[in-house]
This record gives sequence, structure tokens and C-alpha cells, in this order.
Amino acid sequence: MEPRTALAVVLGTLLGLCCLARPAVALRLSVVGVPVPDRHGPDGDGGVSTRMRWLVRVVGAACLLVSGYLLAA
Amino acid sequence: MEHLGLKFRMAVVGAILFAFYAVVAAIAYAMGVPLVLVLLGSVALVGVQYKIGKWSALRSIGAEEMPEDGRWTDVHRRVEALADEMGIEKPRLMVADMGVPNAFAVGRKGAATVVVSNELARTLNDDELEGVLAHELAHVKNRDVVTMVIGQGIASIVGIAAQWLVLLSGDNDIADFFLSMIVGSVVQFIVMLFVLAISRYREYVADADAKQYIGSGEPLARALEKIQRGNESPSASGSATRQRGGRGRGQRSRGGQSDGVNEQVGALCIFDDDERSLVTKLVATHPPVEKRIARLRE
Repeated sequence: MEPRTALAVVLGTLLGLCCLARPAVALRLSVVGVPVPDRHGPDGDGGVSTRMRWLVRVVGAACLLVSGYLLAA
Repeated sequence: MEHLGLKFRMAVVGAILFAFYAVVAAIAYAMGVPLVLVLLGSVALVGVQYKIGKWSALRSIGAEEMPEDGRWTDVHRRVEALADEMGIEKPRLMVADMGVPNAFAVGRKGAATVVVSNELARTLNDDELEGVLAHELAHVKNRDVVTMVIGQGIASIVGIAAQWLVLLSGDNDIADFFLSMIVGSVVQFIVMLFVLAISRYREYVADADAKQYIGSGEPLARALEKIQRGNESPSASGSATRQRGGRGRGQRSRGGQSDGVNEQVGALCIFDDDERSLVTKLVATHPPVEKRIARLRE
């Protein structure tokens, strides 16, 4: 396996697992995950909706699938 | 000098962010992209993010103009007085049913909007509400909204640059394409950690400014305690909204957060269902409420 492909598999797996295990964290760290960057409230914007969590989990699963495909190919 | 420690930390994190951007600009320049183009592209990206952010913030919660009569008269009067004292223009005031007690500011100094939730107005007394409003006006005065948008813009630019670097240096097969996406995301995640650190510092500064302008930290501290309790039992706030004839879009149950306005409002809540682990602290936009309250009462 080429080094770049191996790196893609490793990083893709890690990112996929992160998205599946902690979708709120992954979402917050992405630019799209803070949908309103200027939304400062006195008590913060810590919550992430259920739909967004599931969307991130789907992305995570896709990352794992592609990583698995690259590993198998 | 005010907030010396916070300013020092802000300067360090800001310098790191600028270094990220400078590296990307230098690489682009080395690849033959004129610096003017790099700067113009960066400004355009930040401008688009700013406009979209402001528009979506107001639209997502269905914010409406705050009437100048009735129960809101005093709010207008207090905001006007605070804005005058802070030396900024009075921001546009709006109200919304958010499902939880909250408030936030969008826009830049001179064209800012402060949104207050109906639940907040019902939960807090006049002094506590003034504390919250002072906090929001401090964000406007300190240009925190623009600061955050610039930070996110840098994260986007660095992430996109990393993505293209990987893509252009590869063979354009599926592995390279995938690797470029992953590397772009990971790099952006790393930069966002610094942006979120800045956000947390700005909160302390806004709290301190609010304390200074209203002459005491106690009202805001009490407000934070009430908001904290309100967020722990948002369904109660939601049901209060329904009983008082809140708008139809806000009338869905928040329990499932499956759709409608309450899902959007979920992004405003302080408490994730994750615990306050180190990771959660690192990606928080706000410091722990307990620490903020303690500082306000110092």
C-alpha cells in the first residue's frame, strides 16, 4: 500500500470514529458546525441539534466506508 | 490596563492564528498567486461568512422586531442608556421564542442586532435583564462578532489550502481525493481550537465590561444562574411559551428536537448532553458558567 493511501486510511478511520463517537465535538470544530459564528449569548451556544448529530454520524460512517474500501483495494 | 491577562492570552492565540494565515499566504505567493488576490479572496470569504452568519442567526429563530411599547419599553430605554454609556450606537432589538432563556448579538459595531428570547424576559427581573443586555452590548463594543468571523475565516482558508496542497501534490486518484478532504478537515479542526479559545476569553471580557457598566456583577451572576436552571429544564420554558401564545413555529416539543424552530434553538443552549470533559471544554464557545459567576462576584 502506498504511504499516501495508508495515511488516508488511518486519518479517515480516526475522523470517522470521532464523528461517530462525538458528533457534537466534530461539528463544533468544523466551520459549518458553528452555523452562526457570531451567536454569542450570555450562556453560550453549546447545544447541537439531533439532526445535525445524525448528519455528522453519517459523514463519519462514510469516512469509515471509504477507508475500508481503500484498505481492501 | 483593563483585562491585562486576558489580553495577553488573546494576543498569543491571535498571533498563532495569524501565523497559520501567514503560512498559507506565503505558500500561495510562492505558487505564483499575487498577494493582493490572496488578501481580496480572504476578505471576500470573511465577508460572505459574516453576511450568511447574521442572516441565518436571525432567520433560524424567527426573530421579530421588538416593539417599543408595552413590556419592552423599559428594555429599549435601558439599552439606549447602556449604548450611550459604552459609546456605541443603539443596536436593533429583536425578540424570538427560542424555547430557552437566552440572548445573543449579531452584526458589527454600528450595525448590530441584539436578540432577546421571550423566555429570558419572563425569567429575569429588570436588573438581571440589564446585566444580560450589558453583556451583549459589550460584545458589540468589543467587536467580538467580527473577531469570531475572522477567526473562522482563517480556519476555512487554512483548511482549504491544506486540502488543495494535498490534492495538487498527488495523483488525483480516489485515495488522494479522500486524503485531501480528511487533511483539510483535520487542519481546520486544529485552527478552530484556537478560535474557540479566543471565544472563551471574549466571554470573560464581556462579563467584566457588563459588570463595570452596570456597577455590579451580581445581576448578571444571578441571571446566569437562572439561565443555567432554565437550560436544564428547557421543556418548562417551552411549555410556558405555549401557554402564553408563543408563535406556532415554536410550539413543537423540544424533547425530540427533531424539527422546527426548537432544533435551531438547540444550537443556543449552553448544555450539551456531553459531560464537561477536557475535550468538551476545549471545544466550548463559553467558559463554565460557575467560573463566570465566581468572577462576576469577586
